[in-house]
Amino acid sequence: MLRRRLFLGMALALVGLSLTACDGGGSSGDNNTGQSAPANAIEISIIYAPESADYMKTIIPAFNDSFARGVNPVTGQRLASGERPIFVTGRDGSSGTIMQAIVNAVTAPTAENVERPTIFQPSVSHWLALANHLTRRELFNLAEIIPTANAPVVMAIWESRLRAIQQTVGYEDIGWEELLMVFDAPNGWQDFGLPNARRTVFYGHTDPFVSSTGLSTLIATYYAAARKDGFTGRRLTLDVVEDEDVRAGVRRIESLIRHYSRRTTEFKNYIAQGPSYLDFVALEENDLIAINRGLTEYQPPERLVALYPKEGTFYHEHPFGIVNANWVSDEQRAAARVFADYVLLPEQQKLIMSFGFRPVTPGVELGFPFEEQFGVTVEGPKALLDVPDPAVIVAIQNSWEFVKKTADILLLIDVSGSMAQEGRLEQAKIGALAFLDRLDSNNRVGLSVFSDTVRPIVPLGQLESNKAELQNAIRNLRPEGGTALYDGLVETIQVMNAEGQSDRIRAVLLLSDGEDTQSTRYRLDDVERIIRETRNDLNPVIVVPIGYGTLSDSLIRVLQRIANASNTTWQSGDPSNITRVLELISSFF
Amino acid sequence: MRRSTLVFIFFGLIFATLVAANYVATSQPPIILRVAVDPLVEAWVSRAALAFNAQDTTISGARVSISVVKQTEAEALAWTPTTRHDGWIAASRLFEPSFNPSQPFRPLAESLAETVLVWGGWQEYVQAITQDGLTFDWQAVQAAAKVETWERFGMSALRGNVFLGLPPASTSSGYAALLSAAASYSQLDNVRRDVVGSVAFSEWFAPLKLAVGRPNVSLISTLATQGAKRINFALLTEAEWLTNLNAFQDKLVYAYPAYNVRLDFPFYIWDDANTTPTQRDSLRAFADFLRREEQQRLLATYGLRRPGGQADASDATFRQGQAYGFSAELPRMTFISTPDRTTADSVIRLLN
Repeated sequence: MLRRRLFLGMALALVGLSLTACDGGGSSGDNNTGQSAPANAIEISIIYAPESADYMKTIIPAFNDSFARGVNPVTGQRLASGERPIFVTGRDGSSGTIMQAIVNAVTAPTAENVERPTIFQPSVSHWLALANHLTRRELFNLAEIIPTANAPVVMAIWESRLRAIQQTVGYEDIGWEELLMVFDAPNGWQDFGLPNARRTVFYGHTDPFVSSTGLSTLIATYYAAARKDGFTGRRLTLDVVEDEDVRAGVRRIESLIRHYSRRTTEFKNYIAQGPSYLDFVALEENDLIAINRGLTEYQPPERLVALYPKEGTFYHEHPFGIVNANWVSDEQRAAARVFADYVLLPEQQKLIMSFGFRPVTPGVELGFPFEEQFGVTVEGPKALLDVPDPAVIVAIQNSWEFVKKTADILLLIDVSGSMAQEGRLEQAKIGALAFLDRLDSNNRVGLSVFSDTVRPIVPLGQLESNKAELQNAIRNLRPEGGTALYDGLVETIQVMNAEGQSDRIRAVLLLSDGEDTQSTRYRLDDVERIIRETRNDLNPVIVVPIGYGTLSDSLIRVLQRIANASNTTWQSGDPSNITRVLELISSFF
Repeated sequence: MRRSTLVFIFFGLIFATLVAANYVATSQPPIILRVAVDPLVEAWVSRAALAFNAQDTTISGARVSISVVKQTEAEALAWTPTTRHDGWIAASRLFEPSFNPSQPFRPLAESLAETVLVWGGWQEYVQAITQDGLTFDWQAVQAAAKVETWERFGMSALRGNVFLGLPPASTSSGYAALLSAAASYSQLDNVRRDVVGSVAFSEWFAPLKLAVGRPNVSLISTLATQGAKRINFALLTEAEWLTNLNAFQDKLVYAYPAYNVRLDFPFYIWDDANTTPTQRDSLRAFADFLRREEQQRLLATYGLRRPGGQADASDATFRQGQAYGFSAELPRMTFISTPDRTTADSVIRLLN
């Protein structure tokens, strides 16, 4: 009972966390310290990367407090007569989303997503160069960009997995080449000395349009694929990115994907579930340290270690870009520089380091928590990559649609009579339509429903061609009858299996509000068995169950067993949040 | 009334007037003059400004306070009458040909401090490129850039490509570095437009251009925190190297390029019809203050030399630097003269 409650608590916490993190993919928290600006203060604002929130919550109030006491926190001197205090407000936001919002403020000020901060601190400077490229002006002066905290992008991999590869190949420096060797081995991990491990390699990374880690990882995989193809140049060019052989190499790496996600905030929790869920995931080094220090919701069953890919990676410098636009005055610009100087002081750098970031101020020694016990090495990455031109980065982002692993997704929706209560079905329809809108059109999607029986409504097909049919079918769903949950699920998985092996993610999205009352052919054991039978396929069927409405303990147990069978987690939804739950799940594909 | 009483009252009134004038001057808000300062000397000037302001200097009866604002050349050269500051401590007089004729910059001091360019490179990589007897300077770096990968120097493939760190061309030290490259190529103390525009120079410079790494953020920080995996050699100012020696210790090798540039930090006033005599006098007073011995003595702490190139050999910064090849007495080198505006524009565009 205790275990069940614990698991339930963790699952709900994960969903809660995911939903909070997913909130529009953009801003997710004001750094509301309760401070107010002193009279005559120069007020500046900063939007920082989500991972910087931990230390900014301390740094900003301390900076403001010093000025409020009449002391310049950088010089330590009392303010001279006439010298104005500075007051900083800050909040976090996903780098890609905020970059686009600042670009919009210049090019499309009436757009929905618009931001006008004084300072933008994305995770990595790529976004500042991209903003200049997209606005065709020097929105950020790249000559004066100030790095504030370093974190290389790493592959967070289970220690047993990394050691297995190193022992099998007989050398230490591992990268994409060796990870693909596991993928290509006839028996996968079992051929690498892990007899109980599954055959498939499972990897995950984030969306390169939203997440810095996703963007850097995709650029790094282009470098790796290009090097494999004989490229020896210093930085990627458009020709290289458009080369079909290089793209084929990137697709091969992407074939390791179990599923994607919008931001690393979610992946930190997914990976912490253990090796049965994912083998490795692209994260910033500080995230890996946080997991190993037990600072995430889940306590991992074994240690994760940083794999610094031998083909190279990027440092995320968490740069301060002072916005060069008409909403930032000269005074604010000067004040922003003072704040940057404060962040670079050794005392602040040591605080930042305590959260797992490498200091950027020369002379600040690397110390805790950069220790082997937390899965990292003091020397860090083996090889580093140069940043390509912004036009090349844009080309890489735009290629994402063509190189990412596509998915076959079957929506299985409960249309039993109980779905009429509290407007559940009507809200579910809105959520399902939003889900379709979020998917790339090269995914294949189908729709089945169940009540007393199972009814395939729209067969699996390319979303590009069947989207209108799916939308109509969803709008016309009507509640009636009982709940043949097990029959519905087994028959849907059989439909998926009948498609044969493919190089696509295979997922069934189950949405149900009640326990099985009508199945005549299958029981829960059969559901678990048929899911488990696909476990050793290159692309096992992933069932993502969504418990909808007021859930009984027994339904939660059922959903949990279904999720466990395919190493996923069940999600909780209700009419008020079902659209957000489905949007979150859409970011998996 | 006796004569002595009248004299007493007379002097008493003068004294009271002086006291009152001083009281009025110190109790009134000061006139604040904003001085834009090149980032290379910002720390030194800011410290001096604090000392200057603490003196409660009065000019024409008004108390004066200096507010220091860090600005790059590109920003200062874009000033207009509405966005301008009162004064500007630039990095070098090399930029004078680039002043817009409508910008009324007038020099108050030709030079407040000095620094020069210095190569820094990770030991192992410097050894690799100088093993054929070349000195650690442009020719050796250019030859390495042509080779492209460290694997071709017999190192592990993991070492990747040859990368050179140069400050952005829009900064004073970046522009100076490009002048140094052009002068090294032609072995002349001036940079000529026909040389910079020649096919032969373009061919020589092309591998260097490709080798320039783009960390997008501060080079010194990138070198200190990402190390040789990111940038193998860099040409920065002596002051930057000297003030960051602890981050590198003996892992780097340093060398003065044979063709060098004096960054001499002139002080300009924006002198137009709106500039008052008090502002002129105040900025002049601040310029004089910066040239005082006690402020000049502090230059070495920031890795800077005095105008003319002298350094305080007894200062801890330079003393520490001597162990790594820095010299209080500048070694023999050729200083490049200021090119005309068209040539300057061609040089700045070299990295485009």
